Amino acid sequence: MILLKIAFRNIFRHKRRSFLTGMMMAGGCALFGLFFGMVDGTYGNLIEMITKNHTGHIQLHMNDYLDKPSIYKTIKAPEAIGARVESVSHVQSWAPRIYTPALAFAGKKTTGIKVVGIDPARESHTTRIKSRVSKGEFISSSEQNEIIITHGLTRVLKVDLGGEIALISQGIDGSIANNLFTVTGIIGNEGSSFGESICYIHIDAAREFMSMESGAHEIAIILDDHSRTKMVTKLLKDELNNPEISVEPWQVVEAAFYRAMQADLKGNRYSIGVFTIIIAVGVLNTVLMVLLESTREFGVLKALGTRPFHIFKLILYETAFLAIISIVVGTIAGVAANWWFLVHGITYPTPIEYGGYVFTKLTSKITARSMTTPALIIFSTAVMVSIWPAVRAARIIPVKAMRSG
Amino acid sequence: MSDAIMEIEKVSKIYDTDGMEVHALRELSLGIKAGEFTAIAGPSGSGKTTLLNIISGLDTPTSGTVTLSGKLISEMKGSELSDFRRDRIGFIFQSYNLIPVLSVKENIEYIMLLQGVSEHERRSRVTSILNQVGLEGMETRLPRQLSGGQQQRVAVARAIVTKPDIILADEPTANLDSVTASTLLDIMHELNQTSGITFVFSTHDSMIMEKARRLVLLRDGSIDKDETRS
Repeated sequence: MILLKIAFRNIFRHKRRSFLTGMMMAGGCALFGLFFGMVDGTYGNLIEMITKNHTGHIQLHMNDYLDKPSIYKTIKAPEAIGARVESVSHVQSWAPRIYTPALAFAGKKTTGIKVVGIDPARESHTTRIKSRVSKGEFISSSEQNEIIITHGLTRVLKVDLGGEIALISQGIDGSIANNLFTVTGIIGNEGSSFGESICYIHIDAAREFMSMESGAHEIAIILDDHSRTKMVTKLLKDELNNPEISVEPWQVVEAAFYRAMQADLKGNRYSIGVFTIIIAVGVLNTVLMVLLESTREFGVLKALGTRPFHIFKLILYETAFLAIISIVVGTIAGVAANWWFLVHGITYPTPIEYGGYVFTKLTSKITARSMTTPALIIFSTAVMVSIWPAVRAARIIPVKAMRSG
Repeated sequence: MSDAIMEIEKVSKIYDTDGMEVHALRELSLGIKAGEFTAIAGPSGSGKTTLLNIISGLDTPTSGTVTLSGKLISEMKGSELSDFRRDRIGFIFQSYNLIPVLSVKENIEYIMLLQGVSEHERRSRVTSILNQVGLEGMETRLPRQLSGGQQQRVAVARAIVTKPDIILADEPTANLDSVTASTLLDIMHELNQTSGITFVFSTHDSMIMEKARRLVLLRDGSIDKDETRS
């Protein structure tokens, strides 16, 4: 207890030195917090966009569908499976989908496209497809030959709202599938390059088109929080307990994006490492200064009978106290900075479009990670760099130490 | 068998200074009896401080042995030596060496806290010792709020409060004016007389030499004169 008292009071005894070191640690903590907040904000937005635009947080398919998609790999009784999915905690909604490649004709224009059959009611609760309709209407709930296309596709097929598109494909029974659809909605913005080869029709229209009685190729699931994806994936596997159905988190479905994100985050670790080293050198410098200035005092303490290990602890306590105070200040500053960037953000010089969504601002996010990780980095760095000076102080020879200063 | 609490047997200390050997102590032998009020005097460089450092375990002899209360100090190391100093030896330094961030009370309590003395016992001893050294009412003051004489009284209180076997005082009056030094010396002398605490001083101060019942004069690392007064 007496050592804690000495260590704590020593911080205020050397006010200038403590202030400078504390500022460095608090500044480091705040910047780390802002950095993590920005990373979490940026990737959080991207993940939300990717998952809520289309992918969902978790998807169900028949085994091997993702690697080798086939119109024949259908989930039987998707409604019954959906009801079981809904019973799992943190599941917010789900939507069945049917996919088929097709040739699209409009007038003299033709192109190969991916046709997605969706349940409009479920889809509008699961993804943002409905809100992305920038022109016209979303697919109505009754089965009609309505089709929603992207702006890109309107350019390719030279077709607009009210125009007709003929789709030709292969039915699940081997027959030639063909039908005529009317364009009722357009997704995305003009000039957007997103989804030049994708269109949406009603799931029942898709089943009729493909001569399917029931079934779906995919069930997309949205959770209340994307950070729970892995945990809920496991819960769903246990709940469904069906070896023929694979339950895949978005990290697997969007593997290319996830790998790119991980690579970027790995790159960030080097930046964090360099920044940590700068802070560590600063703290080490201060602790060495403490050692130099207090050599005589440590000599006296040892002469009075203080054990070497107690001297060691005294140095670590002093650094730890300073680090804790700095972390409190730094965390408050970091949260304040993240809040500001969350509310105001940084406006991009030119808007960035991804997947039909336009990003105009880089925003931050206040997360547990943006508060705890910087605190842990600063505290552990400060304590670790103090170990060597503390060992040196513990080994001080009293008679030599008391001659100094 | 000797009745001395401290036995110094043929202690030599040789320093290597820039390749030159300096003999600070030359096979010096000395016994200190319990309750003695001993002054070790001598000119600068005679080996007074070196002798005090060696007998307190702060420095190690090149050869010879130092025994305090039957324990061989010269062979102790690390925590064992720290604990021995904490429990058996009291120090009074020329420049007081109080812990600047601790109050008077906390400075006096410091060693007792390391020893694990109970709070009740600590409080009782601190109250008593503050009375003995005349520092009542100054418990909460920090060292920087005290005069040199008051700081040295705190140092005396800190040294004796743990009831060590011996108090080693290195030039305790050197930084004090003559009146303050005389008062402080009277306090230590009275503690010696009433409590039987053993004091060993390293000093230049004629007042201490006059008051000491035993005077050991060093010259060139050896005892030149050792006289006991009645």
